[in-house]
Amino acid sequence: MTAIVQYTLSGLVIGGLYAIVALGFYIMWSAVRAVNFAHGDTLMLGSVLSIALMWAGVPLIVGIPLAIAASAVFGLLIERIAVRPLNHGPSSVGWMLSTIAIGLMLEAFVTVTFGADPRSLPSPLMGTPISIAGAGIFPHELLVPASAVALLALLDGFYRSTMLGRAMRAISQKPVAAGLMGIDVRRMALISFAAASALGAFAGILAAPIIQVSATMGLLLGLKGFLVAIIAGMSNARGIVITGFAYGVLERFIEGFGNTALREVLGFGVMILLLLMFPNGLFGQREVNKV
Amino acid sequence: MNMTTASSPPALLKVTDLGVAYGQVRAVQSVSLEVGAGEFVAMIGSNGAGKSSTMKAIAGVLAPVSGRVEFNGADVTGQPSHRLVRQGLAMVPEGRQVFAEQTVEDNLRLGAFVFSRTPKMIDEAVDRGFTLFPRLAERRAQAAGSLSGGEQQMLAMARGLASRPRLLVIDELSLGLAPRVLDMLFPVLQQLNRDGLAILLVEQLATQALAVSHRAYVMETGRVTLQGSARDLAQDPAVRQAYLGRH
Ligand SMILES: Nc1ncnc2c1ncn2[C@@H]1O[C@H](COP(=O)(O)OP(=O)(O)OP(=O)(O)O)[C@@H](O)[C@H]1O
Ligand SMILES: [Mg+2]
Repeated sequence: MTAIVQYTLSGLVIGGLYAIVALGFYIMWSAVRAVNFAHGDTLMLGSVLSIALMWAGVPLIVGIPLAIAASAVFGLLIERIAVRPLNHGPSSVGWMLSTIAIGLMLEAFVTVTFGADPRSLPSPLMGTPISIAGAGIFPHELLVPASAVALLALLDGFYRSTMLGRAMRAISQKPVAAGLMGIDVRRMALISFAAASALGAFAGILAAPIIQVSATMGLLLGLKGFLVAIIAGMSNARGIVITGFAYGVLERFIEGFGNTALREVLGFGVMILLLLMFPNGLFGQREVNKV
Repeated sequence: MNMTTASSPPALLKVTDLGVAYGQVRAVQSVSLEVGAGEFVAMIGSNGAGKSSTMKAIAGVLAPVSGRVEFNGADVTGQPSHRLVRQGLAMVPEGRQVFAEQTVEDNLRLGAFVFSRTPKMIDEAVDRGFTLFPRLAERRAQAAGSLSGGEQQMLAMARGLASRPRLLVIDELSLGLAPRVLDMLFPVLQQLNRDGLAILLVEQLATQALAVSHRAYVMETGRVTLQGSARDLAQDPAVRQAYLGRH
């Protein structure tokens, strides 16, 4: 019983992280029907820069916003140089290659400068674990699923009731019409990538006290976040967060009753199966457009 | 035929020798036209004549390869659409192009995007749209993509009007719509025009277009071949034969 609670709790923690990563893909996809495949590296950028700034004597309260801002700039650059020139509609694939390549370059650069050893960021909430139904969990860990839910509510409100949010969805549906409404389509695309990358950095910093920070930490996290977004259907934020949690819990149970290798095999296996069964995603809808 | 434009009001839109090309392919050779403040101007012409390309170049959807576009006395040639809207030049594009996944109301709000800093004006724009087309009000929370073709055209028009333009360019009002719907839409255009809105209407249905407009242009293979008052053009034998059918 304790084991089941434990797996569920830690599953919600890692699943919340997948969900936040997936929300970044959702933001980019909603705006331009393309994503930054180096999005996982924004987690790495956020946490690595926070740690590097901390080493340089910058207090975290300053260092963390700086790291998030730097990641947002990285997102801007990705959109401008790797996505926009190569994204000309649904059949364009060049942006996949260019963003993956930039991610690999960044990882190589960080390995050289930051070192290959895994690090960690301290958190005052990682002191003593609290006990829930016999299972132990650090207070900081609870921040992850809580953030995922809070971000979902925030994004929902943003897209539902702000002009910027409405515009950031409109540009992917009908870019010409969006321009005719007075929306600067290119500017919106930039903003969406900056926002997604800032969110990624936030996720990385949030996870940095829990997971190992290294140059390549974003690879698997980015991949799983993307998988979660695809399985959920890309266009449904709520579905994405639910799927993220479910995937995290599933992983922990497989890991708990089996082992880590089995986790990846079974975890990815289930995801592929779901994708075959629901090609539009679990929560996706077919595009509605008459005429 | 060469018509006098001496009685026209001062030009709100003045297009001179406009040329449009897609890569090496020239779609518009040289088009000159004018729309006066508060005037209702129609453009007719057969498929592929270059009407849409001309309108896109006017509204800043694409940049012309030659010529000049003046709006409100200022040279706006090559300016992107998102800037022109702020100056009072709006377009309802061919095929309506509503934001299918978003609600009817959100589509209207997006039409008023230029008022982003003053939410009150956005609310007013939405109200105006719903007053103009009460059917849209009944469907305000529905996804725009689920509307009928006629309703989508109403939405596209209301959305285009939301920015309070001085000139509304409409590309193919009638496309795919039932006569019953058109009987309702054309009078709305006339009323908007009487209230002071200048309209440049591209239309396949020449009879209706000439019935509602003051002046008209006929476009063939990238050029304006005829122009004049709508009444005169409706009587012109060449126009009657080519666009109005024999009687
Ligand atoms: N995006 C494009 N790329 C290449 N050629 C184009 C493009 N759009 C239009 N054309 C070509 O330019 C010419 C003019 O097209 P345009 O759409 O302006 O005509 P139109 O008068 O609006 O026709 P219709 O009545 O069918 O709407 C046509 O020969 C068309 O094939
Ligand atoms: Mg056309």
